[in-house]
Amino acid sequence: MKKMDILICDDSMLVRKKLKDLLEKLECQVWEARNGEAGFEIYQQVNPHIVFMDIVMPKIGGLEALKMIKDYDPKAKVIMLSSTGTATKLTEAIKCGAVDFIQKPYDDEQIRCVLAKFSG
Amino acid sequence: MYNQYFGQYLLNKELLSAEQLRDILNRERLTRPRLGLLAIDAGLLTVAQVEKIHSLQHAMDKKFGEIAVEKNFLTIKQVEDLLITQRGRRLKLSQAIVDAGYLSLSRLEAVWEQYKAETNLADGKIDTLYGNLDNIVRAVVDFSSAGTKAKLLYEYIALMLRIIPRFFDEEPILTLSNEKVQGTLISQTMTGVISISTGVIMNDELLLEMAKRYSGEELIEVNELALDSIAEFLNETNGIFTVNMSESGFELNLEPQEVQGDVLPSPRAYRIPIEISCGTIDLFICIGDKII
Repeated sequence: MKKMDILICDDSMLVRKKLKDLLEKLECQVWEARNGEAGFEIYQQVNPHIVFMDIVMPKIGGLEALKMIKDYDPKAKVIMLSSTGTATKLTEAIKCGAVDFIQKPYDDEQIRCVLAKFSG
Repeated sequence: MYNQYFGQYLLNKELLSAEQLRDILNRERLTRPRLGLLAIDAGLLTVAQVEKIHSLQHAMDKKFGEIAVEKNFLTIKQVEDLLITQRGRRLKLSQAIVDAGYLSLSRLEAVWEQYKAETNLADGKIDTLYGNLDNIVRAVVDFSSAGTKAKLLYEYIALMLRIIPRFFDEEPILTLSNEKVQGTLISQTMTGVISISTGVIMNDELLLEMAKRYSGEELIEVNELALDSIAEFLNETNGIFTVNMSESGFELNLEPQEVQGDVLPSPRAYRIPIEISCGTIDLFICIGDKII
């Protein structure tokens, strides 16, 4: 797997820490944001290969941030990572341009799989 | 699993104290063979498959056997056989209670008959209790004042009672304690056709212990990561609740969690004390209003 730049956008410090630990073991370069607004700013600066985006966040939530990122970069690969895995949310996320949806709590294998899938 | 429910009944009837019940449940837990281990022993599942099922159980409100069948890892017949083996090997609650001298055998038999009558439980249908955990919650807490919304409250508490053992390896007990917990409130609101706010209050000692177990991190004080760990636990529990509600036709949206120290919840919030081995969690649920 090639070395990738990854943005984690999640208001949970625990989720960011756990995911960052895993991604760094996989030799990814990781950026962190705790809400959608900060996530969009970092995206514009870094242009990461993949974004892991929570849905429920203060200020700007994940779906709004997803739309902002896709408007800025239609080729952006944004994977939603959320505890609200309802069919409605999944459909909404895919309509907004998310490339995948992982329900929390995730397991490490799911993260490895999506990285392999979208690393090309 | 029925052990926990019958034990809860004994506590509710004041036939066992909370301390005695925890002692009994711990004995039962220590002798209970896990379904996954039995399946590995029988050569039916690999370690990786069992780990996958355990991982999915954290994100879904489903039993081990249900997920194993859905994933085509096991057939229904294989799950039934494993459950029979599991039941045969574990310590019976009644045996543990009598061995510990908490109740005599004759007294226990009389209570068991009463319990079966009150829960409409026929002999040989013990496993149906899992799906009817609501009945046990209804025997302990009374939400009749919530009218038609009471069902949501019972379902939420039943879900919390199923989730706690998965994340913390603990058998939770619903208590009738009037002693309110002083500590940090972590809450979250779900909005949609109806607004539901849920929150937990726990003291620092319990918060730290639960945060350590949930996060797997080396925490030594109640810091932002510890608070965030409990907030994330609540978020994931509520996430599963929204999925359950969505499948029943009710769409709910989660709002970000809130953390507040030493606050008094709204008098409109229902308080449900849940006891685990390291302390008491005051669970609050409020319909149509925020917890604070």
